[in-house]
Amino acid sequence: MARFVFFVGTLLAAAPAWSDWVVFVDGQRTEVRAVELTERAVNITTMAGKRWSVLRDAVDVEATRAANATPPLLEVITVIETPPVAPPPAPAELSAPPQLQTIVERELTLLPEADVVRPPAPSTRPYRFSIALNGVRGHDTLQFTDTNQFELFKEQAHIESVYSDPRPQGFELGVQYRFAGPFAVGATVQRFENDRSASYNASLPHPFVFERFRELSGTKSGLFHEEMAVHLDAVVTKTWGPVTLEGFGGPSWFQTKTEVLVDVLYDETFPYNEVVFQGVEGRVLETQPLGYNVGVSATFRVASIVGVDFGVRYSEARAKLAVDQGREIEIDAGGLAFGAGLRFLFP
Amino acid sequence: MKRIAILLLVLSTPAFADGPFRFTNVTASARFLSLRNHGGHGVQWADTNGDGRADVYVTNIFAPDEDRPDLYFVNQGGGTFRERGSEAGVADDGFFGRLSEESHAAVFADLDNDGDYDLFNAHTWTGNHKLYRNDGDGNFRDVTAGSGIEIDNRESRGVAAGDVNGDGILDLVVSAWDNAPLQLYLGEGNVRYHRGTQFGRRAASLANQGIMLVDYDGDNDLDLALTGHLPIQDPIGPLAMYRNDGRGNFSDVTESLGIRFGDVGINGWSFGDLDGDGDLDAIVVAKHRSQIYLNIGGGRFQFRQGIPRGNYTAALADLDHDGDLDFYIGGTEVIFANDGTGGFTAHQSVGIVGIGNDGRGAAVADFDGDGDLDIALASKRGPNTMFRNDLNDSNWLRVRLVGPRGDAGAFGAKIYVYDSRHVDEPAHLRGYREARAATGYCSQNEPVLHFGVPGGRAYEVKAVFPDGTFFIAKGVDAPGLIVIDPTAPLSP
Repeated sequence: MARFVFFVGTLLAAAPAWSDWVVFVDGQRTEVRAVELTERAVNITTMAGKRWSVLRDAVDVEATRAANATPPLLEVITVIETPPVAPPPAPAELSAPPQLQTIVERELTLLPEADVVRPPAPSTRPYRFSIALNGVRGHDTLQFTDTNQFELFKEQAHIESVYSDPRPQGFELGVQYRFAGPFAVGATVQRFENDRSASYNASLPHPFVFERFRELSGTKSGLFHEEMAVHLDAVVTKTWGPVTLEGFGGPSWFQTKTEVLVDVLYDETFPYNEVVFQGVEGRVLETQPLGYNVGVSATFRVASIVGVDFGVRYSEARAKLAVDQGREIEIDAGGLAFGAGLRFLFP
Repeated sequence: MKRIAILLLVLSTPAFADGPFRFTNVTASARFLSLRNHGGHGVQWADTNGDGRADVYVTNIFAPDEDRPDLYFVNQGGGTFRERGSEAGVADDGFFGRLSEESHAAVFADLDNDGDYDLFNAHTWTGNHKLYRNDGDGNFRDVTAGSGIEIDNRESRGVAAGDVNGDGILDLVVSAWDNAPLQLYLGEGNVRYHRGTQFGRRAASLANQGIMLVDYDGDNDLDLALTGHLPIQDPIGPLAMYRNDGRGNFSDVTESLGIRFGDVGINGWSFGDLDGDGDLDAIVVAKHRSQIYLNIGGGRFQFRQGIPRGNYTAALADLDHDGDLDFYIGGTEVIFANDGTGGFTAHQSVGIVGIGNDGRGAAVADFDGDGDLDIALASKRGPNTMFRNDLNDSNWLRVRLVGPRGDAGAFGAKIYVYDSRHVDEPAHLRGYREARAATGYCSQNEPVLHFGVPGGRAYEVKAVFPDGTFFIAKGVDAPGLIVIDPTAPLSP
């Protein structure tokens, strides 16, 4: 597939002959027989009689006719200065020199004639409003420990549970509004859900004998864990062509539901020197702490309103889960999370 | 039905003090009544209605063909009783004076393992032995018919209950006067019995009085101790010990005991740890004198002290909370205080006054719930009497037992109290008791084990049950009452 560099000149429309168009093919200026501007495409007929079509949007060319312009004016948006193209000999009755000449440079992909309709090329224009939908994955394997200590048979019993949280997975949905220059505000809802596991070690006093503890240990998997967070952020953006970088930070509200082991169930028979594991008793506890988040993201605009989004966010909150009266488990919410997905950009 | 004639004696005596002992005669205020024509013999304590208070049953007998109903006193709290023998179905009254239902002794025991105390009443001359099943709230139903309990024993004296063959069901033994056979009824469950082994010449030769089931040799089965009145022509005297092989087979080991009481009628024989070494010593009570024997192991006893008092029975209890067992011989006015080694000193003027003539059975219970042991005394020719212990201190620990099969009282179990964190260390043994149904002569102490220990401290209580299982309660604070029930979930 040949590549074109397509220069479109602003032409005096008085005599828009084929020679008015300057077309480069693979960096070489190529004479074309005709250039036809239609509503959706630019159709080019080569000297060899081949027809090429490119979407008009793709070249970002706008053909307008000034209401009072004579001859008609073809105006383009982005301009670079190039040596002026020698104007064709003007008809006698239209001998006035061109009043304006602007050049736009776009890199185009030449399509077969049949593929006239093509996706629009990315825009470099800044957007004002965006919606991001990302998949997210936590980076940390969070652990926390619960030590349950209580009196049993006149001594202190200990049940220590260590919870291991594999990297959580979830999604986030964010909106952003750019209100002035590079500054924006955003809100993101993030939700993770995964199963945790807990290893427990119980040290249980003997019912009959002081300082003769009976030990019990094991692992319980499949403990429910769900975390939802709402992050409110102040955002600073910087755009380089199709790439936009953002830095953000702000307060976060978490809703954490997690299943914890509240008791280890066991059986014991005379003479009670050993205990036999029977099961564990779990309970889903909920807390709603406040915390903060900071992060960066990058969006690569792949189409006019679509970008590919990459980001990393660190959020944190400390929370206490009330297991029983006087017994609390302190946990961390949030953590480091990576996300990737799509961002829809709106002017 | 013949009406019960009750004599209420108005007795109220001030407390006296000799040493640590202070008792008050509260017979009148407690409404501990007597028959007008007396006849008191046996005293049996137990909480029959599960309200935590000790009730008491008094058996009555006087002479052949003289009917005497038995008295059943339900503890009302506040130091008072209400007699409700007829109402509760255990008055054991005869019919029109023709069938005299006279009893020397009865025993409270959980015969059906349902957690309450049933009643076995052994008859002497006419009438039948009676089995009364407790419905749990202190009302009884006569279930003798079809139980296998025979009616041919017309000379019964003492009665005891315990599991002699290790099947978890309480068995019954009945001693008999005048060459009537000693009877062993082996429990089959559901309050049914069959006759067990016959005992030998010695038992048959004794005119039996008190009978006990006691593990005198510490091999965790119940042996049979027997006293009698007919002279035995040997230095031992009219008593017998039958050693259990653990399966309910008994052999006469009397001659190897080391007891030499002599040719005197013996009424009661009580066992307890008199010297604090964790085994059962004995006090043998004859009409006019008694003897202390200490257990020296191997099933043998050694004479320790002669006591110049006697009668029918000695109630062994730590009456002054100094950690050792003292005793009161029913019908006397004297408390014998233990010096901790099995040596005893008489204390008179202790407030035990106003007793009826011819005292017989005597037994202890904390009937007023103040943490010390009070005394009930039955008298044949005078009013029954109740003596309240006014020790009123906090140096006590009480243990209520339930057996491995749910049997109230866990008769045959052994209880050891140690200093905290020193269980099984003999040097830290604070007390040892054996749970049993009957003691001495026709008597039954409240089946709650009572220990005198310094208050404000924690102790460890070890219970060893007849089936070999044991239970240790750690950190038990004194004063206090604990319940050891191996059928219940372990209490944290």
